[in-house]
Amino acid sequence: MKKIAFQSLVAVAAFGVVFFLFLRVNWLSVFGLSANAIEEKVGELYWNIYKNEADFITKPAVTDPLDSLLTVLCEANELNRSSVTVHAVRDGEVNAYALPGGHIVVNSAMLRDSKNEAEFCGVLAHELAHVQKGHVMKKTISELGISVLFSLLSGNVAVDVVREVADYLSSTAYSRQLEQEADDTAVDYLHQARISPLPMAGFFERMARKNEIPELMEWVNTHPHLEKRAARIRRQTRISVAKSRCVLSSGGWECMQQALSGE
Amino acid sequence: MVCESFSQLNIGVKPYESEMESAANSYLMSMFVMMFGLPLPIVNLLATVIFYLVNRRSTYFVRWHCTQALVSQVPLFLINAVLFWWTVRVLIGWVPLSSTYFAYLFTVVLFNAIEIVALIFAAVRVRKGIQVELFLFGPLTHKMCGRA
Repeated sequence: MKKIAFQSLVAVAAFGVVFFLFLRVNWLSVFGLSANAIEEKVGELYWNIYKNEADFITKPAVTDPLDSLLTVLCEANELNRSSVTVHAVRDGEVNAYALPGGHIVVNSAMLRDSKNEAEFCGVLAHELAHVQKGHVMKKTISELGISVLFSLLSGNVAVDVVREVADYLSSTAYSRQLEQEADDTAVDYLHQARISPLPMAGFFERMARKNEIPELMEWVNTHPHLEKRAARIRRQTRISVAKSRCVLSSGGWECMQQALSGE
Repeated sequence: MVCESFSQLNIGVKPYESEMESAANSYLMSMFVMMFGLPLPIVNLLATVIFYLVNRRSTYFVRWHCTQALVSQVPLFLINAVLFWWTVRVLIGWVPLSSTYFAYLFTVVLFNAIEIVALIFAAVRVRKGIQVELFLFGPLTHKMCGRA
């Protein structure tokens, strides 16, 4: 028995020593990888196919304000701005969604339906929270299965599979827990950027009231329990609308909406 | 790894050819399942358990080596299972990719490689009729087979 105990100890110690020695090397630097290398790889492969399918709005009058708003949110919260991109696409459904690889897609109808930049900032902060908290990958894998992930990683994925994933990510809700986490994080992001979350709550309430309008159904379907969530956001709010910061120059949001109306 | 005479097993005489073949096969089977059973470590263990159950009523010599092959799979099953689930969690984004993950991966790969070499060595020696007791697993097998 002593022999077994001694040899067990030696084996465990040998494993520990080898593990410790391997730990001395910074393998991520050696391989030139980042901590989110898997998501980045999936996002890159996915986006290369998705971008050929979507109808992007490239007018600077539309894209510049979106970039400015995202930059303000990222800088205020010390987030890596270069890891997130916001895109505007021509689509009549009021919706915004996050895709793998840090891509936030905003439909033109969503931009038109947001009354002011603060409302839209709330939506943007919510989607940014989904990206930062890794919800996109969780949702992709938990609902679509690991086979889709392996297909994406191997590069053998068909275009229709990518379209299915995009449709899925844009048209189905996250779990209540993930939505709440994204809401709470969004409120923090807005506070850090000195933007009042109250317009975000107002937007949720307006959407909840208008849910009988077909073009608004998409946002309502993907973001259920809007009234309860709006009430929770109101309870967490620490900055009033009067003290809220304006990111865009005066009339900037209206200029963007005018540019959109020509689309 | 230790090579000893058959007197260590209290057999006294050299086993029959068929016994040596069955005993060597237990190691070869473990090795092949280990190599091709990945990434599901449970497959290795299950295959070795099945081989053990099939041979448990065989002679002491065959049973002893089947037991050693089985016992040698258990620690590997545990460390491989940890690696497997860690990999799944990295892939689905629950935990970030880290240098610690790679350190564990390489440690496990190294120990798997050592195990494969040990199993080939054991299979070849046992097939030739030479008794082999693996480090740690040999004494454990003696304890389990209860006739040393």
